[in-house]
Amino acid sequence: MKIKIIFAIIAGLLTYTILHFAVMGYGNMKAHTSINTEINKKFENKYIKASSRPVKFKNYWINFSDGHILLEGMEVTNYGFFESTYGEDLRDNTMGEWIVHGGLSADEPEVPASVRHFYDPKGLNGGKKYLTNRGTYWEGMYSNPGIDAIEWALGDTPKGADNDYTWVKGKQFFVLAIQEKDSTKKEEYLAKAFRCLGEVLHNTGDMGCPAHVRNDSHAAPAGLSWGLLFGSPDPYEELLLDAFAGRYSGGSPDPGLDAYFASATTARSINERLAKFTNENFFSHETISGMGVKDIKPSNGEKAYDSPKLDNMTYDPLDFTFYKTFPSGRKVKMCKDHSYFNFRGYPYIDKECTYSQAAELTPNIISAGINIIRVFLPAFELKLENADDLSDTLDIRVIHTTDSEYQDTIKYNGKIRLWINGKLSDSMAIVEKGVYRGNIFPIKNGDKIKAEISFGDITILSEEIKATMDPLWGIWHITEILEDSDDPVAPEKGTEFNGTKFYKVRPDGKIEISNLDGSSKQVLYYARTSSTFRIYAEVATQSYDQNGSIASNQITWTASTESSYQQTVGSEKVWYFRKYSSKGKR
Amino acid sequence: MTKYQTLIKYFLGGFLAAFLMLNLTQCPEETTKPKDEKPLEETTELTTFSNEVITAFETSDADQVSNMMYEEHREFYIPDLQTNTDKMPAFAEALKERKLIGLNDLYAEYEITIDGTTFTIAYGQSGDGVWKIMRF
Repeated sequence: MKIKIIFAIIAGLLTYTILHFAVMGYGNMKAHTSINTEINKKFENKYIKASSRPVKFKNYWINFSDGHILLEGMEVTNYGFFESTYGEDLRDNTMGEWIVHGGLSADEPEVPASVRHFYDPKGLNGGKKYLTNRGTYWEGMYSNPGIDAIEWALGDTPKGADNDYTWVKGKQFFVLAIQEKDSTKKEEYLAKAFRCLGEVLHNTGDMGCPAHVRNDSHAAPAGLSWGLLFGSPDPYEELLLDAFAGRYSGGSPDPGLDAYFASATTARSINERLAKFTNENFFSHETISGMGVKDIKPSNGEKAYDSPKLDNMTYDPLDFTFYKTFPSGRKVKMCKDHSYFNFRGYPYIDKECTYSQAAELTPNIISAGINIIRVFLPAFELKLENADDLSDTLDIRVIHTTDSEYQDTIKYNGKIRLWINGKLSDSMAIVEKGVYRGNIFPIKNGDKIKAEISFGDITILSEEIKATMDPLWGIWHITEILEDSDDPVAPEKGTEFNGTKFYKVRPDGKIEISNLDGSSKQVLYYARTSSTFRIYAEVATQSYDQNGSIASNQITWTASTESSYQQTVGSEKVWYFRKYSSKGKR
Repeated sequence: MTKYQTLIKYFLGGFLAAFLMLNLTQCPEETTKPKDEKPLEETTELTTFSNEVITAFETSDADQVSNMMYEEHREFYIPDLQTNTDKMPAFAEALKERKLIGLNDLYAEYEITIDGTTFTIAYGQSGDGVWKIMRF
């Protein structure tokens, strides 16, 4: 009996273990994360750090490659084949890291992804742009969603709405983040937005991969028992190592494509154009066709594409290689047909061809990718102006310029910080619906100030302005020492009085002096010539007269102050005076 | 009946224990930084498969090679093989000295040299773990 019990326990252990690894266990790492990493770097180099940056990003500072603001969001933490067998959890990442993660998460769960990441710009099979190759094999196991890679990634058609991380949703999250006042929610939206962007860049990477744009089903993820139904693996995709992105990203892109991407206004136009270029110029390993040593037909059983064709390439008999020279100037190894058994046989794409093709395709993917980011970021300008010449009141406006991707005006809600004479001030203002009017301490006349808004690792700066206001405007810590008085009840000479007051020059030219809470407000006449000033007032029973000068740094002033006042002594009215030496310090 | 119930109980206990061990005692798999080009090392599965391929070529068994090949690729390679079976042993010999030049989970490419001329042979697997010849 004991043996049977042990056997039952072991059988239970084994049964679960087998089931677990049959449906859950495998890990995948993709070249897409490296591609997205390179896109982040190149975007910064071309559009942010370059001296000739475009007008849109003139006042942007973006740090995707080495950011430090963490945004909490859902990250794929366990890879899996299906929705039920993969997992996500909350993680903190920077914007750049979310973009990189999107390159990976777009392939999760992997089986649905493996049939949704194809886009045939030619629609060779009856106009269908989604994967149909080998459909008779795999559709029995997994129903064809009938959706092409671009609509899945962008979510701009009803079929794409099922994807949680699309271009359309990414833009919506970005807009919500910009409009949100609560900083925690703002960060949540940003995390989602930038994971979406990363997933769209995954699509961009795929559109630069021949096997994804030529209706050529290829092998499923490692570990899928019925993966054979998808066919053999594609050498280009399998040998596209992570290292390729860094190795080839510095190459020149195709000049025509590069110009097109740089002026494109929508993500769809960029990814479609890249897909067209890849489709028309490259073979996947099962869609080679044209006249080689004989008439070559695609090995995947589909119709042959019109382009490229072996006939239009240069064949070098010394290395048995078909070459194609691109406008970039690169001479690319398209395929070979060397055979031990028949000298020249059926053409194939080997490692050498893969590397050669990656050198041409990678710079074009990068060029497309950086422009995907360009159109993803809304165009904002931060305008900072003095409200008038007297006060420290500033007008700050966050102005959104609409474009093809963001057709409705976005109104920023959130913090604004100020740079005062090159130093970031601790003070901040809260902008509502893109507008702020008020003062931000401590600004003084002549200070050089800039405003900035930031979300994640994106910062937008205003142009620098010079604060114009009356030099006495602002908070002063005042010390007055009594020097003389004929008032018998006055304190002793030398007595010191201290106080903190707010000086405000009114549009009518008078000066308003009050406590910081606005109490004890006095309105007096005010005259100033350059650095000398006079503050005075006179009524029937008292007068006040202060004559002073402000230091050139405008942070101190000194003055002599005299006040006269009438007192009733017995039945008589008597005038007294007090004289002070006064000084103010900010 | 009671005896079976006891065994089922222990079976479920084992099942539950495995569930707990595999799901609750491991941290979630983290996404890691992109890997760089890793040093190529032939896996045991690939070595085993290569040995089978060598045997098929060594014995000039074109049918066996055909069986080891992706179905959709056979028509482009097997006819050439059938008319050149005498060349198969030399191919087998070269394959014994193969050099792995490309490797991923689903694809392996080798370089072989016959009479001073270099050729390549590629294997693939479709996720199911079964390696097949893609081309030679």
